[in-house]
This record gives sequence, C-alpha cells and structure tokens, in this order.
Amino acid sequence: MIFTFKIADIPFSADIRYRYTYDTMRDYLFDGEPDFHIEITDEDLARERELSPHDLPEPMHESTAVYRKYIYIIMERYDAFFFHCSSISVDGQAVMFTARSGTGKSTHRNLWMKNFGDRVKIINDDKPVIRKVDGVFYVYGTPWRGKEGLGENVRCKARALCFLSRSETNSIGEIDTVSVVTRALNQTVRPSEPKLMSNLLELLDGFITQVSCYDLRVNMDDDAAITAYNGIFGNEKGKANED
Amino acid sequence: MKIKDGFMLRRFGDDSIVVAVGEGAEDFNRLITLNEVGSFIYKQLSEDKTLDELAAAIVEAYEVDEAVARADAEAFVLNLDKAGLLDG
Repeated sequence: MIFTFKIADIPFSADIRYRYTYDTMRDYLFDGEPDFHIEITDEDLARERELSPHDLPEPMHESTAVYRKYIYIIMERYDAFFFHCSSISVDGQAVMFTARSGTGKSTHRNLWMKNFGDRVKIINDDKPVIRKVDGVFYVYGTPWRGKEGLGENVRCKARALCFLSRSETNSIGEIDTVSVVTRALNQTVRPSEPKLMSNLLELLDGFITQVSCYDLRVNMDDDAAITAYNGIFGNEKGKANED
Repeated sequence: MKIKDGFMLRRFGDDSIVVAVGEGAEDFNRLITLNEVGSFIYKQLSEDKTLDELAAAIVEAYEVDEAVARADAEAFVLNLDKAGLLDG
C-alpha cells in the first residue's frame, strides 16, 4: 500500500507491504503532497538481506530498504545526510554522540538524562538526519531509532558533535578538522557517485564550521556527563533556551 | 605516473582528504589524509609526471633544494603507490 510520510520536513510516498514498516514509520505519516516516491522491489529486499550481518525477518529489510532509498535521494536533493549517532536535545539544542559500536553511547546518553533530567530528550538513538535549511544545520528525528527504539519526530538546531571513547578519567577537547571529517565519513553512507560524494563533502565542510566537534573521553560516572556538558555549554550556563 | 581515475580530493583547512568514488569506491574504503605539500604533489599527479618533473614543480612552488624536493617526492609517491592510488 502507498503511504505518505514526512521525515526531516521532506514529504515522500512509499509503497510498503509489511505492517512492521508501517508501524516503524507511523509517527511520520503525512497528509499532503509527496515530493517523490519510493518503490521497494524484490531486488531491494534481496540486497538488504545480503548486506545484513544478521538473519533478520523480511519486514525489517523492507524498513531498511526504505531508509536507504530515502537517504540517497535526500543527499542528492536536500542538503542532507544521515549520521550514525545517538542524538539528544539539551535545552532544545542537539548534541550528537558517535563512536564505534560497543563504546557505550547509550550508557553515556543515559548519564545525561540522569543528570539533567527533563532538559534532555532523545532526538534519535541511531540514525538521525542532518539537514541544512537556510544555512542552518538541524538534527532531525527519523523512524529508524536503533535497538531500543528511542527517538521522536522533532528537529533541533545542531550544537555539538562528540566523538566518544572510553577512558579512566573524563575529558573533553577540541579535534582537528581532518580528523572530524574522516571520522564522520566512517559514520555515514558514503555515496560512490562523484556528484553525491562532492555534495556530501561540501555539506560536511559547512557542518564543521557551524557545529562544535569534540574528542570526548569518558568513564561511566556521573562526572562524565557533567564534564561533557561543561565543555560544550560551559560559557553560557543559564542562557535562555534556543529553538 | 599519475593518480588513477576514481579518486576525489577535497580540502579542509590546511589539509585535504582523498576519497574513492565511482566503480572502485566499494573496494576502497580507506580515507587518505594529505598535508599541504601532499595535496600539491597529488594535484600535480592528476596528469602524467616523472619524478624529475615532480621534483622541479616542488622546487618552484616551495623554494627548497632540488635534493630535498626529490626526496619528498619519492617518499610521497611510494606512499601513494602503497595506498593503491597510482597508475604506471
């Protein structure tokens, strides 16, 4: 059946056959005209099955196939890219944590929620979309929320990107541009088509000039979140919320 | 020798990054980082060049001794070749 969704403020229709995909995407249903249409073929599902490291039920492959097609189209047409990270909003501003799997992104994110309570919300725990709108970078929630299914249909202005690693003691520091770009490129879909790749690099260039990027080394104590918070927001405690 | 087709260089600040694009991109997942001189030599090698020509270009651009330029060019070319970026 064909449904229309709006993800990252981009309306599109998709022909989906599984209830699972519908349920995954239902928070993003949209009553309006789509910009484009996504059709999932048997070949697309077979390809996802091949790419997946796990033996998953077919409906999950459909959801991933929609995501993959959507991502390629928005990279081409909307100044947007996907970024594999856990993203939270802190007083309305987006902070992203990225790391190799198993580093403890969820643990760290939980420390923020514990220490800052209602000021922190999860935007998306796995695959948010980053999009530049009128020169400003935003982090958008998407239906693809990761293992714990956490996230909302919201957008927040991108404030900080933290490359997370584990350490005995907590510290947050600056990170050089090329390291940011190479690490970021390892956490996104890298298109092979030269024009798309060129768009992505251009977008990343803008992203890193606008969004502060940090090398964040943490343990699992409360101090980890506090150190990170102070490093990111240190100079403006008590400042009014920004949208 | 020259840089193979299917690579893209993009400058970020003082340094540059080389990524694979096109048909070879799936087999080449690495990212190569170049400093300013590296980027300069890389750009020189978008056209077929000998080691002598490369050294001469470096001498002209950076006002270094011929011997230094040649040593730099050689070392850089070896690294490029090891990384699989060179043709011929």
